[in-house]
Formats: sequence, C-alpha cells, structure tokens
Amino acid sequence: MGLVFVRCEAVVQRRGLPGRRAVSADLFRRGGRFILQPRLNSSVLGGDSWLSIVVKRGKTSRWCSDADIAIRSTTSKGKRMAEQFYTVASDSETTGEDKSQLSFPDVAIGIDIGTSKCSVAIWNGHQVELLKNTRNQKGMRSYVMFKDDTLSAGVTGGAAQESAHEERDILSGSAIFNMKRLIGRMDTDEVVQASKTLPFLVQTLGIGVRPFIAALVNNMWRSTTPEEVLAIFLLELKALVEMHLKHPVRNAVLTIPVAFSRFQQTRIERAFAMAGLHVLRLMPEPTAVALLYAQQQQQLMHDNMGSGIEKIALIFNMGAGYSDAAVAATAGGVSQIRALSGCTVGGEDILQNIMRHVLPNFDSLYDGHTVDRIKSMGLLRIATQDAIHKLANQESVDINIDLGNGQKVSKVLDHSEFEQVNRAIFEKCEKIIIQCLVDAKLEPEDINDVILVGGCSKIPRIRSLVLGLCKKEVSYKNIDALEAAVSGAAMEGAIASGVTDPSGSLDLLTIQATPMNLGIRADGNNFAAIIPRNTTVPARRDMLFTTTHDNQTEALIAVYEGEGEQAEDNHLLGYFKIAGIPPAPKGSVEISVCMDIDASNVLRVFAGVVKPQGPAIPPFIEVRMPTLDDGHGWCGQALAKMYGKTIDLAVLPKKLQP
Amino acid sequence: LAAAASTVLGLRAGATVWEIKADYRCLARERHPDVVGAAPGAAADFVRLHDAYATISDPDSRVRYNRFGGRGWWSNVDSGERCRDRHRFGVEPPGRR
Repeated sequence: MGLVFVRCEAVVQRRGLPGRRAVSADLFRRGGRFILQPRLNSSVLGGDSWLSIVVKRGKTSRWCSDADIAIRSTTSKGKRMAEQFYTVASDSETTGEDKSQLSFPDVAIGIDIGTSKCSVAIWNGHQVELLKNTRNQKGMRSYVMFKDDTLSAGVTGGAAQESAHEERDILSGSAIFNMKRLIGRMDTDEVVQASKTLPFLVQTLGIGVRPFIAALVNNMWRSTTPEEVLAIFLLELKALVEMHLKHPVRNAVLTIPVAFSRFQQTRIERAFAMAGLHVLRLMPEPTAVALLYAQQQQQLMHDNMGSGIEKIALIFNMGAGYSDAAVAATAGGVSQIRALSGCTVGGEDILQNIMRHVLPNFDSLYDGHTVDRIKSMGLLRIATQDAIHKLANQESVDINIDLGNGQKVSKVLDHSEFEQVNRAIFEKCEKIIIQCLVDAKLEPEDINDVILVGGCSKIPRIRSLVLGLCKKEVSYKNIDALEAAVSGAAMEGAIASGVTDPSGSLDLLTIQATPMNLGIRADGNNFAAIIPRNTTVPARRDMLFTTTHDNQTEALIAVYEGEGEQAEDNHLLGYFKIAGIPPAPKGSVEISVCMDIDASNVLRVFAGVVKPQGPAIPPFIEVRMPTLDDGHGWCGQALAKMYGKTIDLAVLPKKLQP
Repeated sequence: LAAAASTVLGLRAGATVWEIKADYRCLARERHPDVVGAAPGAAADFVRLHDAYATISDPDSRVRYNRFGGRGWWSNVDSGERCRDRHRFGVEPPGRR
C-alpha cells in the first residue's frame, strides 16, 4: 500500500489550557491509518497533552475528522519519539471528553436501506457478516412507528411479536415507511404522487416544494420529514450494530439506487449525520453486487492458479422502490463499471397496480384518509402483497377480502393477468437493461453472467425478461438475491477503512462511473451534457459556451443532472452567474465550464471567461454542487421569469481539430 | 499506436486490446484514488490514465486519435511502469483457455 501525504493544517489544543493553535503538518495514509506528522519548523507536538486535533485542508475537514490518527511526535531536535495514537475530534465535539478510549479499529459498516427492508453487515476480520435483530431477522422492515410519545423503528419490530401483527401495525397510519422513495423529492414528483395512497399522510401542493408527510398519533396527524424518519431508523440500527460490536461505530458505506439524484444523496447524508453516522461512501446498489462478484471471480482464479480472464456481468436489481441495471467487467479483483442505468419502478408499483386492478375504485375510495378507510386499505395491501408472493410459485391465486362497509374483493389472479396489469413496469425494466448494454457497447453474447438481485427478482416474468434479453438460460447462482448489496457495501467499507486480508479477499478495486448526465442549460432550454453518463469517476470535463446577445455582460450557469434533453426535464442542482464579461458581439466570447468529480464523488463546477484574455477578465468561479437546499422545482421557473433569455448561453460549436 | 497515450499506459507498439485492458487494470490498482488516498493530484493522475485507456481501447476514438496525432493533453504524464503480475488482470482473451 502506497504512502501518500497531504500537507495540511492541524488545530491542536493542549489539555487543560484554553485556546487552539494551528500547526502545519503532513498527513500520511499508510494502510487505513492516517498518520499526522508535524512539520519540523512548526511547534512541537509532544507527550500526551494534546486533546483534540482538527485537520483542515481547504474547506473540507470531514474525511479525516472522524478517523483515528496516529501522531508521530517530533521533538524540537527532530528526534522521533514513540508513536502515540490519538483520535481526531470533529469541530462539534470538543467538549473536553477524553476520546483516547476510542482507538478501536474503526471499520465502516455496510448498510442497505431498502424501500421495504433494510440490512446491515460488517467485515468481521475474515468475512462479511450480516447482523440479525432480536427477532433473528437479517432483513428488517424499514419503518418508524409513531405512538404517543414513543417512537420505534423496524429494526427491533417495536412491541409486536408476530410479523402479521407488525404488518398490520405498519399499515395503521401510525408508521412511516417507503422513506427511500420520498426522500429528497418535490411534491410535483410522480413518485410522491403515487405515495398518496399509502396509509400515512402524504400531502402535496404541487408547487415544487417538499411534500408534507405525517403519521397518525392519537387521531391526529403528526408531521415529520423523510430525513427525520430515516435518522430515527438509523439510530436504532446503529444501536444494534454497537451492541453487537461492543464499540461505537461512526462510518458507514451505504448502497443507493442508480436513479438517486445528487440532491437526494445530500438528504441521505443529512439523515445519517442526524443519526451520528458519517457516510464514507455511497455506492450504487448494482456496483456493490459487482464488487462481490469480482471477489468471487478472483477467488476462483486463485483456486485455479490460473491467469485472470475478463468476466462481464450484467446485474439487475429490483427492489420495492427502484430498479437498477449495471454492466461490470472484472478481472484480477478490479471491477470496472461499464454502464449504469436505473428507474423508479419497483415492487411498490406492482403492488399498487394489482390493488387498483382488484379494486377499480381504489383511488376515490382512499382519497380521504379517514380512519376506517386506512384500516381497509391496510387489509387490501396485506392480501395483495400475499397474493403477489404466492404467484411466484403457483399458477394462479385467489384474493378474498372483506374490506368492511359492504366492500368485498373476490378475484382470481393468474400469471397472464398479472403480467398484463404490470406491462408498463416490465417495459421500463427492459428499457434500462437495453440501455445498459448499448451504453457498454456490448452484445448479449458478450455477457458471461447475469446476476439477479433484489426482492422482485423472484418474480418469474422479471427473471425470464432479463435472461431473455441477455440470451441466457440461467442466472448466476453464487449470490444471494437479498444479501448481495449489503455484503458488497460491507466489503467496500472494510477496503475504504484500509483493512487488508492475508488471503487477498479484500484485494479489490471498483472503478465507478457516473449514473446520470451532468451539464448546464444552453441554447434556450436545451441540456448540454458536460460529463455524460457512464463516465469513469473521478472525472473532469470541460466545454466551451458563448453569449447569445451582443454586449452581454452576464451569463447564467444553471447546472442540471438527468437524462432529459430539455433542461427542465432534469434535476436542477444549482446555479450561479458569471458577471463582468467584456462587451463584445454575440458568439465571440468564449466561456469555459468545467465539471469535476473528485475521488470522493464531490461535484465541482468551474466557470469563467477564457476569450478574450487579459487583466479585465473576472476570475473563475468554483461552485460545489448541489447548492440548492429545497424548492428546486420552482427555482428554474423563477429564474426564467426574472431574467428571460437575457443571460442565456449557447454551446460554442467545436472547431475542427488541426 | 501513437506515442503519448501508450506512454501513459506503458504500452509497447502492437499491444493487443487484452494487453491494454490488463495494463489499465494493473495501473488502476496502483493509482486509483481509492488505493493511494486523497492526495492532491491523485484524481487528476487517474483521470489522465483513464482518458488514455479510453482513447486507445475504443476503436472509434483510436482511429481519431491516430489521425490527429493526439495533441497531448496527457503527454505530461510520466511513463507508467509495466505491471509485473499482469497475467492476473486478464491478458488473454476470454474463452481461449
């Protein structure tokens, strides 16, 4: 493992004395441990009298603020003393508490928060271990129950002893679930609209702000946010892990759907921060599966003592809320993500389709969210869910429920009807797989293995659809459909924490790719992609733009992410203005917009005038994205209303290469 | 193959596409920011490595690269050392074994 150093500034504080001092130092990384060495000419770090050290580099102090740091103290004579271990405290926790007892090996845990179920895994020194809750479950229902003054999350299952009771409690309106579908979405989003038939309250105003969600507590709607619900859930999950490991955990690697926008990622990170966890890395779900596949292939190679051969896998993951596809090429433990695509359809949509099918007046019936309606909706949900599960193994299924108030449902559902009702969903799944193959420039024959994961991968139609597109008879067998993603995340957590394994089973690397186009609005309302999707990360790309009016002195850079050709079809991440452009005829000024995704997946946009040059040109602007906090639905419209086309940009046609 | 991009990958002339891929993986294993840490320049270094690989390994851009002589946006990279255990990363085409 290479030894790399970063020149940085450490803020040190002597125990018992007020005030902090800055010391310049070099930060080494050896293995997974950070070693802080004061520079020779700086004031000496000696003995054990230092309380807290906050390493700051530029504006970011986060990535190392939670790590264990070994201070290699240097005396004024430059003579090295014995190594001593210190814990770096973050800015918020300089309360004088002695942190030295926290010098345990801080290996990041892997978390897979599903729309419906959640699991957590750790690298236990030899292999990945999935943790079980007190009810011996590895997959825990993702929900938080609001009852009187007490809150309980699905990790422990609350007071309910049997899962049938638990499910009925969840659907009573007092529990919030499907957080992963709601987090970071505006009330105009169709996924939020589809969530309005859930037992709890999802209220929308349709103006592009966050929806109002609430749980029923003592016959009152008590409001909350998806971030808050997720944080409560994570707190319980964290407690479970800490009880198991018998030491605090701080870092986590989390799997996320491919279709998650960067804005949603910031919301997830916020929920983690609220629960006292630091997100070390966010991994698209199929890439975590690819990592597990890479490890298995490498192990096979070791066993055969042979040379490595490139293996290409298509991974299809379909859970309750999202579907993802990925193509990964792996050899020698290096897994390269060649293509990613995802969409927001999942088991929840299948469930809702079937509920609407068996009860045609479903929407009008459950509009009002009255207490008796919520109860009957819960009954329908449970019966439908049950029927879908049974359909995976049998030809047809009877659905018989008494919903009360004279409403009865009696229906026989068979495969062809099930497939007919959900045709649009299967078509979307096909679309993302085909897109993945096209983007990876591969034919079905090039795929070695097809890996099917996620709860919905058990549906026969999904299996036949994916295998058919890849012209395969069977899917890859050595991966558990429900445990793959969390296992991959735990392995990534161990690797990113610097854990090495003597048998080489952590000798792995994933080369990630961007799941969505990143670009700016230009040429009217068009979307000019600067970093196209499936670009390998880290990435840096630039593009030239020009003014659209004579003597235009200002230009708006509106940054979007997504697949739409029109800017407004995509997610707005942020915007800023370049001012002070020298007056010139339109089309003659050259404005460079550069996008940079660094190793920790942070997106930065640099923009400025590159032609004409000279001292009268304003300096470049660097903006870290996303900058928007909320209301990204109407910001774009507000900008258009305020400025019209007066500060628009146009793509500068590429000059022919000499 | 034109000189600059192949220098980044440490390739000899006439390398097969499988050798290029193996070298890329091998070098990625050494130079990826996940391996070397968040040192300044690590990301840029890897971006150059990947761009060189992407240019040479993609048939379309390889033609374009050779035609225009690859006006060196990666030529300032030091030459990569060839990997010793390159066979691990898949030098042979699949199915030949």
